[in-house]
Amino acid sequence: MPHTRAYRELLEKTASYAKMGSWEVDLENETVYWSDVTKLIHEVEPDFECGLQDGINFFQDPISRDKITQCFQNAVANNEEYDVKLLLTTAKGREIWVRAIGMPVIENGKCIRVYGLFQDIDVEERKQSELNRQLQFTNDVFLNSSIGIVISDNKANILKVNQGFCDILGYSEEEIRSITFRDFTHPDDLEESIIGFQKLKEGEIKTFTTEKRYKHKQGKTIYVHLVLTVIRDKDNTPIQYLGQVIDLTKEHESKEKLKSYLNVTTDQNQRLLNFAHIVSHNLRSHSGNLKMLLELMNLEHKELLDNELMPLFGQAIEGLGETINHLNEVVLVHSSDKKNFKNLNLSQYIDKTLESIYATIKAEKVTIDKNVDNHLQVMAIPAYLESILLNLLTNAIKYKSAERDPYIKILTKNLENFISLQIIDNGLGIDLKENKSKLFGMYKTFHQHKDSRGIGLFITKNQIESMGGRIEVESEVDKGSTFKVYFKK
Amino acid sequence: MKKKINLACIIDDDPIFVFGTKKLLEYTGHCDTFLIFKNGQEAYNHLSTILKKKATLPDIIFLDINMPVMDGWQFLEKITQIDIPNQLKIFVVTSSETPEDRQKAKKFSSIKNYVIKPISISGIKEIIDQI
Repeated sequence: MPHTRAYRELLEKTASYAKMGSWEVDLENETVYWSDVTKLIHEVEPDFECGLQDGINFFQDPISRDKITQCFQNAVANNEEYDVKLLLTTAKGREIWVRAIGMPVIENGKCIRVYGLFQDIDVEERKQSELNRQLQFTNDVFLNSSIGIVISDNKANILKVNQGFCDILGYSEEEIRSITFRDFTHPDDLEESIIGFQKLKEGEIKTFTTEKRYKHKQGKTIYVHLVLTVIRDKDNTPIQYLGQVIDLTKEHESKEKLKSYLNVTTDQNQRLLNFAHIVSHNLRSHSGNLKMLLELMNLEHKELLDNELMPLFGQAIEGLGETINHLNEVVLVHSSDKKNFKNLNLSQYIDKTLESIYATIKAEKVTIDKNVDNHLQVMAIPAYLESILLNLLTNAIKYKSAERDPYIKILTKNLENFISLQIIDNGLGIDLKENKSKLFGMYKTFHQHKDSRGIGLFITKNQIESMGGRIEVESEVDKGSTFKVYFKK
Repeated sequence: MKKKINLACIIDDDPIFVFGTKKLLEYTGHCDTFLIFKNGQEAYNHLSTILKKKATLPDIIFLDINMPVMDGWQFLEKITQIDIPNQLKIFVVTSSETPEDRQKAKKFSSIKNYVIKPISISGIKEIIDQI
């Protein structure tokens, strides 16, 4: 078959350039010929002899295997040529992309052999598929991003937008392309944007970032964050502009809402403080006058002392004065200043407080079990710390049970940011189910004790909180209460 | 031995307080001559004239803080600018218990003490003892 040999040689010459080998399957003699390059592609030894069924075994990828089987059968049966891309597994187990071309030779209406080419296209194929993958990725980002993306030309004409951009503005892509930036930019923000665009164009800046307002198709204002970058050709000439837009309207609205809440709260707080000052100051003047007048009256008209109404007058005036004092204490708590804070030794302050109520402790037969680390320091205002300790300890004694001698346990714990102080008593206890929410309120008393003023815990809580701490309570009726105070370190 | 005061000055816009303080001073026998002013301005006008004429100054001044026209602080600022041979003996008597006001009072050396209203008989005695 001279013409076949000549053809073969021609192929061999061109083959090595293009990593292209030839092959031939002689169906009559049942022999297979592989050129050197074909063998190289399969990574077999040069003396490799390919059997009739061996070729197919290099296609381990099922899709490629089916495809080549079908193509070859089709060539033999229907006299059809093929040119396909397949995934080949070489003798060394490497997967590579190859191009297989096959051409049937027919004699007397019957296919006697099939010959063709085999080309290693792995590098090109992998480059292409990587490129495709990147293009797909870019396209996915462009299409699906909720960030609005817009591409414009040098004159700010819109060339392309994604769905995200359409969603932000409420226009369809077609509608957007028929309008310009001027149509949907808020008039007050137009100038800044034009200047930014110009600077970008002239290379003065690399990106133009701004927060601006757009007008939605339905007229409402949209707040957006825009980043504009320039796309240049290989001569560094600007050709297109890429804009990325994030819709900040919701954030803007919640920010505005927050701002207005803050204003209202600040305003109310200020008014409340003024109110409290006025009440405490002006009421004090009047109640002071009443007290003074009553004293004068008693001095000048001694006979009035026999009147049964006079002591009641005195009590009423006394009560008024006390209420105003409470009110004043409350007002003062809120005007605490950072510079009044000191590092205080908790144990020493507890001892000082216990000393000051020593007479009561003795009279009421109180057992004090103090288990406090001597080194613990708390950040507090001295007067507040004294007042808190005094109030909690006297409460623990005041609300003792009539059935047992009072026992007070004082514990501390060193936590990460706080020092916790526990004052545990075995007194009357408080029904927390009923009273928890009211416990620290103003003028709430839970016991019929003669000295219950209902102001102590309210002030204590306020003092603790104004120093950045908190107070918790656990209690069981007729078992006792535990007050847990957290002081800042 | 009861300390006798020749002239007491009360600067306060509250007539009841003025009335009461006068009464207490009279009753306790400490004083029966008074200079009364409704605000800092009136007091300053009068006292600065006395100073220029070198006439008799009050032995004690009861000064309120919150007053219309010129308040206690403004009065203090102005009156302490005048060169006085004998130190004025001023007692701030106020309903204000804010730490800021107490702090402010410490800045004036002419302030003998800071007293919270009301004043009782024993309070009057304590004040008189301080001069």
